[in-house]
Amino acid sequence: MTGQLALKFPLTSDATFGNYIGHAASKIRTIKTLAYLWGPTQSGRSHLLQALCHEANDNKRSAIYLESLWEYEAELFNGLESMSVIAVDDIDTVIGASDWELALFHLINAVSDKQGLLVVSAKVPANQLAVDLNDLRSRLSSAVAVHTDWLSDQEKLQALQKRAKFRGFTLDDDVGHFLLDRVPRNMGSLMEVLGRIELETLNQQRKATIPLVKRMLGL
Amino acid sequence: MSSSVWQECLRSLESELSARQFNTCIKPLQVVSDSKLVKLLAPNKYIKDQINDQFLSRIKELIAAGGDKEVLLEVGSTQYISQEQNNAFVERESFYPLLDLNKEFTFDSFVEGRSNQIARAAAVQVAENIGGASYNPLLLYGGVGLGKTHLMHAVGNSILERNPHLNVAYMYSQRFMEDMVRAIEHGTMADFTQYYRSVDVLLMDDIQFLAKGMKSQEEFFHVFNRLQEGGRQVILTCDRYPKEIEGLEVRLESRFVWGMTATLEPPDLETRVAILRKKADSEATEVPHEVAFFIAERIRSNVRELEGALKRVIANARFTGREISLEQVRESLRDLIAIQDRQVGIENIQKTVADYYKIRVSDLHSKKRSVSVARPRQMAMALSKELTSHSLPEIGDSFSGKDHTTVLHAVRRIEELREAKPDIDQDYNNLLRILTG
Repeated sequence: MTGQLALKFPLTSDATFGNYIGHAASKIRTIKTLAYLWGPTQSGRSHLLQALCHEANDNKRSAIYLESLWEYEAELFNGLESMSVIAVDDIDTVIGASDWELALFHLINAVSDKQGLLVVSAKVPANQLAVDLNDLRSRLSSAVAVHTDWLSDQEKLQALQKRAKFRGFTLDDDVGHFLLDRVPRNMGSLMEVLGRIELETLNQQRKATIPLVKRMLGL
Repeated sequence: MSSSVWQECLRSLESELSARQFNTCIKPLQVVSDSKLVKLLAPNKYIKDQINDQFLSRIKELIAAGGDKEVLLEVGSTQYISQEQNNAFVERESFYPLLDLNKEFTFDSFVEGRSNQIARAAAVQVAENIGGASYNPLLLYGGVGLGKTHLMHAVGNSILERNPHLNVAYMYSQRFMEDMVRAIEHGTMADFTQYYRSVDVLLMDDIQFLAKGMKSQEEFFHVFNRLQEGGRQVILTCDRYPKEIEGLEVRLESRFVWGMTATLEPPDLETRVAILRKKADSEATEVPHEVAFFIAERIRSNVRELEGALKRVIANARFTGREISLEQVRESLRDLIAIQDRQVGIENIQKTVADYYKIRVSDLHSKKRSVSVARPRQMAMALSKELTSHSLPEIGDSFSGKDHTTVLHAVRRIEELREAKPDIDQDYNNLLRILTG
């Protein structure tokens, strides 16, 4: 049987507040200036930042989401204050590099002058970041801090089901529990597997079932 | 170009590029078009260059497939276009200070204490006597988050209130440098220079960053001289005394300090409490005294972090619908307090004080009564009271079982000496800065 060609469409495009489970979403939406979002890897920081940008775009406001900063030069930050919303993921990956620290410091000042919204994210609280530039450290420490949520397995299941529904397929409880028992239970891994299930169901034109998932995962 | 053509273009690019490339370079693009031209506006030059190098030919292909032909990529934002009501949008190249004074930064909203009263008095003096020789320039310096920018804006706001016709320009040094580079690139250096030399009051924040550019230093030197010659007021802030700025030209160093220099020190406990209560008032939020005291005892290094902590407490209270209380504050600031408590302990204070006075830690624990040992011991006890949450008996115990009345005596003695002897006051402030910096 020839499988239907599934379009590649990154999961991140539907990272919205609507399909985020937890309190951090409501907190971050109330912030108007500078926010510092922190939490461990795969705890939903990227999701929240992207959701912030999607919401801004929906409201006809310009927004930019930046990740993998190490792939770029610090000039990436120059002049970004012209955007209404700036979301910068994983700033801890460039903290310690003087050009990046200085660029971030100036971006914070410039955004503050323009009364824009800047949200930066990192794995640890601001006061545990090894920032060399004192001016930057104090600005990050004064930002409104938001901690990502620690989800229970039940909440993770809800998050998966919400996301699946948004993508147009159903993830039954038994399949969800099966995933939680068999794959790493951080949201990043779970979402990655969910993306593969979506492609598989589209290719196979079948429902998401335990046998399908087992086959897909080679279990 | 219809918006559907651009949406189609976005869909194709999203499927072809990595999420990182798409999010960083493509998604933030803003589009303006007319019947002949599609203009893509990138947020900055760096992103524009990335697009030029990697994605522009593909974008052009996709747009051409939708029926449009000419594509132009520029730095800009539709916000500026609507402001100018001009379709012939040009790359933003204005070097005129677009920075507004923060209206909330006034003398009234500035909490005065022993740590900043001279700086405040000097700032008021300048606001009332613009361009007076003995206060020109006014240099406000001190660690981060102690209120330098607040005072600077307060001067600007006060001057404008009295003299609305004056041209008061607020700028930070990095922006001065960026604008200058842009002016050089666009051949508008003469306008740039002319602008700065024509202001009545120049407020330049964070001058330590000027040290990074020789050309900027030279230009600022000339601007500075011209303003001084014309009796215009210059106010500068810096995070350290200019002599300590590596890379700053000697001629600028000397000019920066030839008027009035005033330092801002970390605020003492009473001032920190007053700052929190004032900030809470401005947020129309009730913060009980014991809560303000609790926060002020733990966040000691600077005002910005103090206010940041209060913002977190207020945000948390609003979000959870709980009243602000000690328990709620402990929960909101859990991570912050854990770090602070770990960083400043009595042992750390003893070691720092012993190093500072070049004696041994064991001397602090001894019963020696010579001034060379007793004074540092009293200093360490006073700092332990100021910087930790330990009770007086606990502090006494940490000094080899001294009585709590000894600690109390030490604290009072240091207070008296700080009033009477500037060198003791300076030692105290230096140690405070070392321990909380």
